[in-house]
Amino acid sequence: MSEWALLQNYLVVGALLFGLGLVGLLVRRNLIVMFLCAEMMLQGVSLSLVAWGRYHGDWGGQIFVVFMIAVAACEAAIALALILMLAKQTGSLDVAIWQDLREEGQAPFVDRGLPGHTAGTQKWPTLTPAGIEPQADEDESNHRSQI
Amino acid sequence: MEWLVVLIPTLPLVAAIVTASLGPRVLRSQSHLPVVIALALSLLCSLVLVVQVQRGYTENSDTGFEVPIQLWSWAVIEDAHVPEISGLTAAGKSLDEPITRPFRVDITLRADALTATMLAMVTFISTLVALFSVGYMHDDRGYWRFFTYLGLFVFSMTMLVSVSNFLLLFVFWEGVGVCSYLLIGFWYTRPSAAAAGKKAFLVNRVGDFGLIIAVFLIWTTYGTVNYHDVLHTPAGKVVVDSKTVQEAVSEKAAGMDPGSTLIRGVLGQSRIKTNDFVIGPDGELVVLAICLLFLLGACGKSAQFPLHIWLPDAMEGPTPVSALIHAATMVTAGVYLVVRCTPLFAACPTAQLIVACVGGFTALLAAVIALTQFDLKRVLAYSTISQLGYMFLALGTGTMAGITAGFFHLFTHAFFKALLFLGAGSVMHAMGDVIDMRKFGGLRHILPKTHLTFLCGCLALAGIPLFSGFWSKDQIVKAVKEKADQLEVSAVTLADLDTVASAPPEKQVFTIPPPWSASIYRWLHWSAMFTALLTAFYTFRAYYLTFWGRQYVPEEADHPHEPASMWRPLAVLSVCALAIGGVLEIYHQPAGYLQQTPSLSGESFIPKLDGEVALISSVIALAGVGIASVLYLGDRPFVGWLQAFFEFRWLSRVTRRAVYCSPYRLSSEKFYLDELYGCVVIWPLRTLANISGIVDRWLIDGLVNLIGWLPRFAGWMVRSLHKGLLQFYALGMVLGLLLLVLWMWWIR
Amino acid sequence: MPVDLETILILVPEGALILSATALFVLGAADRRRSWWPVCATLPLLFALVMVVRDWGRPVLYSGPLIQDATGDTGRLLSVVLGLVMVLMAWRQTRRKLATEFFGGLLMVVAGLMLVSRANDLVFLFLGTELVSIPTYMLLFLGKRNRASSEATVKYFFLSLLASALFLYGVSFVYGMSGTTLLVGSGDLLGIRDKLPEIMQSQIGGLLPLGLVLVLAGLGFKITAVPFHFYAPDVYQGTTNVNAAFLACAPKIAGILALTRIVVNVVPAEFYLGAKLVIVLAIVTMTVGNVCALWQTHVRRLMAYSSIAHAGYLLIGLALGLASASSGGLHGLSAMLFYLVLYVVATLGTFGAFAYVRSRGEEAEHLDDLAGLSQTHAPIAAMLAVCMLSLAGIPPLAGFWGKLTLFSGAVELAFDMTHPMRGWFAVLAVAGALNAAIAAAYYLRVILVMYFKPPHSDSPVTADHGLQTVVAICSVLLVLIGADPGRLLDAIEPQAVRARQVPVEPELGMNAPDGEQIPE
Repeated sequence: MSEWALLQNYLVVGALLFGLGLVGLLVRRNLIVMFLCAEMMLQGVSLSLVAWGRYHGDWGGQIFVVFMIAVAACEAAIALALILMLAKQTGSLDVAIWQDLREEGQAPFVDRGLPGHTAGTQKWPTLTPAGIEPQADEDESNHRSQI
Repeated sequence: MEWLVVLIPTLPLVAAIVTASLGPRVLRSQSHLPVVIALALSLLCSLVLVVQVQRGYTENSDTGFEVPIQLWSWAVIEDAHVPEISGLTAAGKSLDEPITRPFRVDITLRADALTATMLAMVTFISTLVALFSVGYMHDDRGYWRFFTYLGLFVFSMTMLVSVSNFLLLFVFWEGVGVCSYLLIGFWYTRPSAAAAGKKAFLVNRVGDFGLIIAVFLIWTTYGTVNYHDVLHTPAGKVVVDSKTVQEAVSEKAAGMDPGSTLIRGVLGQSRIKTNDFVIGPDGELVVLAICLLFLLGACGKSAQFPLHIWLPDAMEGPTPVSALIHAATMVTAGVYLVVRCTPLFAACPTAQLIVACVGGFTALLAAVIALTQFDLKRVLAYSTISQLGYMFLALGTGTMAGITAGFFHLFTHAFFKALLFLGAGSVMHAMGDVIDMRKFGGLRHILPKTHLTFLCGCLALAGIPLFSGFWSKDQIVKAVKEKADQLEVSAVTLADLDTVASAPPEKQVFTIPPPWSASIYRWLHWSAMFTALLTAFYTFRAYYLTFWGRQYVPEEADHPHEPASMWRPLAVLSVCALAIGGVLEIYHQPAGYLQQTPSLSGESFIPKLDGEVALISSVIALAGVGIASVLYLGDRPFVGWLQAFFEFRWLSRVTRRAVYCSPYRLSSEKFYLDELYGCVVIWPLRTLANISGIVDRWLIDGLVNLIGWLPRFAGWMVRSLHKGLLQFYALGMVLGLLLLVLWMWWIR
Repeated sequence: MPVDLETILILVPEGALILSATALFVLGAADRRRSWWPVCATLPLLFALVMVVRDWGRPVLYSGPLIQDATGDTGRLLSVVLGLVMVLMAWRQTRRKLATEFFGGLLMVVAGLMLVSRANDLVFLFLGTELVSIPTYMLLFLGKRNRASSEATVKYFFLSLLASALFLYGVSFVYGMSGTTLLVGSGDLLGIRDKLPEIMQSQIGGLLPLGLVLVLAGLGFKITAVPFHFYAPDVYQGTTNVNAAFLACAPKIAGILALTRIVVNVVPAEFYLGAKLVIVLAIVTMTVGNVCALWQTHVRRLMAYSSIAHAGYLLIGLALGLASASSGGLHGLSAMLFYLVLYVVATLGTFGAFAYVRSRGEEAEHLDDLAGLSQTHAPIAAMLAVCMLSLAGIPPLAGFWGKLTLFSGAVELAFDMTHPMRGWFAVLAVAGALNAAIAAAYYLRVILVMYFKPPHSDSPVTADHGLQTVVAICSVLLVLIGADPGRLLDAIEPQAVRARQVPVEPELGMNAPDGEQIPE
């Protein structure tokens, strides 16, 4: 397999990762999931960078990736702290509750119908589907003060 | 002499400024003081100036006497004018005219006989009117405002007659127009006064339009707008003194080269000497155009047909204003203009004929209208128009006799018309601002002093022998008659010599053949004599209606009185009205003095009293007075009958409807000229204005609003993208990115 | 590549700022008195200012990933001054308990801005921009503890994350095509700029537009270019006036400097696709900003749209820089930097005035809160009016000259008969002029409200001398620059001209970072 074809494979995978992350960011409403999707986009970029670096025989790409990972870690720290604070404030991880700031006179986005519950016996641990009140059981809520 | 000429207009201006700034707070009821003092001083200066001009002339009497006084430059544009042809004639060659000429507007005043006479007349009348106004306007809320305007008017008027530049002439022409507008609309809360002011201003604009076009033409034709010659010395100095200029010209002719260049003024001595007014291939046409445009301007200011309609309405202003501006001074500005431009008119006989026709027709028309008016001031207003028509008729003869006669009439008319108006003002003051002659009568016992002075004015206006109006009017009639005679003689001579046929064809286009013009002048002569009859009649009709007959006063007159401040100016004026014409006539002063002006010094001429004309005039005037006495003295038995006859009442009895074009109705309704203008000019303009207004409001404004509305609409569209949900924003970013990528792929 | 002492030394101001910030974070836990932390923040900033001024105008110093050149000097000076002004604005405005975090974050951002302005390496550029972004999230969250502020933070955080990802993806393509992270090479060490022309011919050259669009997207978010502007109105509205001032300036400076570095310095001269892209972005950006601002009644939202519109004007300069690169004309870049300075000054003044005005105990929010300001606080009203008029580009003030230099550059190219893109620039110039006219409407509305509406009964002010000083300095500067724009423009012009000059050899004795490549 030539270098060029190998590169193409890597690039396609990187682009797929990036695309998946992008779509996830756009369609998911849970703040944590959205952040994870953004991280996935960064991984796609990392893969591309490494692939290009190998193609050119240059270390720059890999160094870049190392820095990216470091920055992503910072962002993760900030993100998790932020999300925690927001969740404490509102008791919800749904991003759609954050739409008070908008142009005057524009109608807010309202769920037409909630996605149905995923059937299954196992209820925990799951990430609450966005848009609905998380149904924590009694014990759980007694055990932990907040989500 | 220089400081006199500067002082005469400056004093009223300073007084106006002082009154305007101090009047409302400090001076209050003493607001007249600055203006009256300034006007009196100006009068003094003017009289001194008259004497000094006379003295200057006797020292230097070959070319006439003028002193231009250059104060400062208003605007200078170098090399503004390149004459199409050099236009150098024999005398012009003696001193090089520059190839290009600067557009110089210098604030230059002048002292010559014409200016001095006008200044003396204006300041004299205005001083008396100001004194009269002290009594007439007392207790008016706008007392200080009145005197401010008055000072401003006298400033503009004195500047108008003393500037030595056509552009400045136009400036002050407008200046007096503005003052007239302000004073007509002095009681601006009265709708009729406001409307009259507007009317006067708008009608005058038509004339001003002609005047400014004429100034443009003068600039393009003669390359200067100065009256006087200007000598540019090699040292860069600008010399305007006529004596120095003439010396330079003669030095050059004598071979001594001073290296100076000369710009000959439009009415400068160099040009007059060579009579170089027709320049270029279309010169005749241009001169005719300039003259006719000047005439249009003069018609506007001097209320000649067809622009005379504003003057009767202008009587809405305070009566002293009517006396000063709309009878004695401002309305003579047109006459002054034509007299000033005599050399130009002399170069174009057709223009002269038109001036004469306009004047003669206006005189007759206004006299006919004046016959049936019941408003005392309106009678006087129409009589003013009529007398101004006389002046134009005289100027239209183009002979020195005619011009001096016209100016003489201007001079005498100013006095007796001011007197009549002030008398009317006195009547009005006593009658509680009622001026309709049907509402009062027999006032000779109530207002004895007004009665006597008014009678003096009437005698002068009617042209009764030995009163001042007689002398000047007589000269006019005589001048017209002489002109007609002279033309008949030359027509016969020309016909004998058969030169008409051999004259160059382009000359014939603009020149009316002598036989025709001779008969036109003959007709004008008859019409002038008939007008004199009408004048005497309507004057005494008004006099009898006011002061004779049964004594009754309107309800508004609560305390008929004649304050001293009002009758004293009347007395002074009545002395002038009685005597000034005769005194001047005896010494042959008007003609002789006026001829000291360079532009009028063409032919030497001494007016003589023609016995035959004088006799006919006297008979006519007395006949007019006689008819009026028969009709209006005593019980007035024939008046109603005559009115019914001239109203064609017998005809309306047959047709059972009023006859609108009966002579009486035509006269009393002013020949329906206002209505005609309303239909022909005002209505179409109004309609056009309304249409334009609608177009502006709905179409143009609509378009502008649409353009203003577009960004808002776009904003409204884009705004709807900002829905507040984070994912929408992310989606917007990504979609925008995709669009950009696709677009780049597309255009690469 | 080896990093030697010289390279470390030229990073002294940045390092000092970061160390001070760290110290603030740590020591802040010990003492919560607000009064003295601003002083602690001011000192390193002043130190950095001294260093920057000392380095001003020094010969180009080249050290691989860092380059000390004219753009860097201008950017660094602007950053440090911004930091100082922000400290002054925030002196009394921050919450007492959060002062250390706020000022520490501020120092970090300034350090990030200074790094961006000197970066000559993709990695450094990325680090710099992230060093601006990450503290910004924190600052936003620190401003107010209410729903609106939280919402603003969430939106900014996630959209910024997205933008970072887009930027990085674009950078990966740029890197991938050239095989090096170095932007401008020196000597044997080839940078992206040196390699791009040949890459354009190769099979992977077609990726350049994609990379360019992605980079523009990522940086466009920072300068609030449409369609990456969505966050700005909401975030400005949700946060405090001081934070909004910060947001309107710091990311914009970072974005513009990064664009100068990565786009103008790198993109080949004949690559007109980039210029076309920027022109379209510029037209759309200023139009959207202006037309939306017409509807706003919230002062910060209004200013957000205004800042979007100004991003459009700034992009004109970028387009000029891209399109006139071949003809060597650098009018556009200097015009852009000039405009950036004027924009920053006017914006700081405006937000300072907004922060100064209180209404019913709260910060001024609605436009009506400014009603009758001319009667209650005449000096502030007059100074705010100066800022507004300058932003609108009314002639005697500085903003006019900024717009004039930008538009005249576009008009110049539009009338350059030989230029292949003259039609594009003609459209751009017309659009710019129309937009300037539209913009006047809403700026003048603010003045109208201040001067012609009756005041509310209760409009106390914060007796904040820091804010007063800032507003006064800004408005005086606007007037002074308006009176003599040539002085500032002359200071910027050679800087911008030098920005495209690249040293072929490092300055002797100054440094030898890549000595092994340079023959001694």
